[in-house]
Amino acid sequence: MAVLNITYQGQSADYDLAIDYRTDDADIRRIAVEVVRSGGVRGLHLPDLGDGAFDHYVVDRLRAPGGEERIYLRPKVPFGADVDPGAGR
Amino acid sequence: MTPDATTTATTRAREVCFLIGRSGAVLWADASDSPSALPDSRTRWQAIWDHRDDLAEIAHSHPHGPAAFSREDETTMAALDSALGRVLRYSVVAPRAMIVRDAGRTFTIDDDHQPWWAGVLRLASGMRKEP
Repeated sequence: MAVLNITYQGQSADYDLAIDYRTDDADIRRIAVEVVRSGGVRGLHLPDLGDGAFDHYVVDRLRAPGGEERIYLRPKVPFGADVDPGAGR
Repeated sequence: MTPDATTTATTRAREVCFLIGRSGAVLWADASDSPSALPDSRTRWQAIWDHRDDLAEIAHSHPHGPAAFSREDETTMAALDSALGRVLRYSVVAPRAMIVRDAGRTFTIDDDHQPWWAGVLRLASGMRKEP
């Protein structure tokens, strides 16, 4: 049992998830889409949420001091300078 | 003169990120060890989330250019806008130019109108303004 925290559309909400803490990232993203569509996350009920809504999100797995396993689905935040070679400097 | 460690550390090119508040203040900053990448960071995300009410713009540097948003930048900006539930303003500061994405439009800020922190961002990134 783990707690899945999803941040989307300005909301950050928890969902009790009956899955293994080490479930892979792709499955976490798929599950998140389903629970948001179904209204399982308080404050986040989007029945028409697209399949790729969390494609550019990353998964952080953190264990609280008390042992609680928390999975955070949050937007990725890297930036990089690799662009088209013809772009201006 | 042989540069000491301090000189080297302050002049080495690296990407730097600033979170800018509605008043134009720099709310938070971090830097990478690379002139062409600012890796993902939970700490950076947490700072963005903590400052979300006052956050107006996210700026980062491309010390070796170009003055353009990369593919990585584009997907990060899309992810951030969806998470925050609003479209933020983003900018890239490069040696010759500063570009901005605001409300879906991308444009260049000329030298006379760049914000005060653009020079600080260049300095922290180890780059000089080029004509």
